[in-house]
Amino acid sequence: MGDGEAVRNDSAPRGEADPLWAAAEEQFSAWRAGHPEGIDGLVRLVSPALWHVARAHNLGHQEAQDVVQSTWLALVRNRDSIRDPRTVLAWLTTTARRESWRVARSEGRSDPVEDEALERLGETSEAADATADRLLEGERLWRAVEALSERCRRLIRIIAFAERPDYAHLSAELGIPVGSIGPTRGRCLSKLRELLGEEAVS
Amino acid sequence: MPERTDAELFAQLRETWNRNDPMPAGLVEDVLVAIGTARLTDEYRELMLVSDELSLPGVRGDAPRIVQFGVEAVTLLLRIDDSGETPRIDGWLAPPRGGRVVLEVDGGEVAETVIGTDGRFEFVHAARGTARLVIRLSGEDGFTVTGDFEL
Repeated sequence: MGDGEAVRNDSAPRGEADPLWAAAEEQFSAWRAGHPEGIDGLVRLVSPALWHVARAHNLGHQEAQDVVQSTWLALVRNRDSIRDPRTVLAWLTTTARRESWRVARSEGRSDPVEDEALERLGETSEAADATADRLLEGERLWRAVEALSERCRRLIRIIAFAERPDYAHLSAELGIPVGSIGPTRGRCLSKLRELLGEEAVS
Repeated sequence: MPERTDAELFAQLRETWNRNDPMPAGLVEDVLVAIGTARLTDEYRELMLVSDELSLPGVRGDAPRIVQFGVEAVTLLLRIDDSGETPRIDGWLAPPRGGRVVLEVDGGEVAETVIGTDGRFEFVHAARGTARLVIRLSGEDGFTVTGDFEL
């Protein structure tokens, strides 16, 4: 499995000193300086995040894989146009989001509705309360996530994986007015905490 | 249940999504193969035939011909003298760059020579047929090929 690094990084909170973007910068700079293994490291490190960004746009498995691939090929083509290597993670997630959006809007999509996720939704909506105590924390969180509205789920997933998403593009992608994204994000997080039995942290 | 900060919550959310909808195994390898292929294509530049004309208007039949190839900032001029038993090729690369050049005729390598730092090279005895040149410049990855030309 190639996504180990990114998963491990997640144990540290992502804030201003985000280890993922810092690690991405390091690999990207090495690659541009002529070390071919840098691109391998970068692909292993960031692909999981790109995958989740694509999936958050309701893309099917194959479509999401295509988006991840075309995002990387775009980086290869444009590697010299990225002035500040610290922005490479943001560049990648932004490119993946635009490409996902383009695919999601394109006509004749083979797989417009996210089949598996919908199936799971149906399975898990019942009996959540009764078994909550016995569930592992991760499973509890997952059920809470699935109990969110689709819009909240997508927004939170993108914010979780995309590096500082800009609200103007998110607005277009999710059909939420740009001024509402901040409040929507807050509402979605509060709803999630409520589902987890926590008080919202304001 | 202790309160968690937004950052902690997002970290746990990422773990949750990684567990419940993980990136397919093999995607990373597919991407790396695609990148490798793209780089090969990148490194393979074909010099397009710009012109293939007799060197001097009005000169009789056996005069050397001048063949010009170019791509973006690179120009290759070939003077092909076919008056002897075998064709002779004199080449100039502009801007001047050193390296090595291989002459292929009818799909097989027939000769290899050095390109001087002044960008000059020559094949004194080339073979007849459909030819192309494969150029590797010093200090550069990849290679450049000309389109086919007749000798």
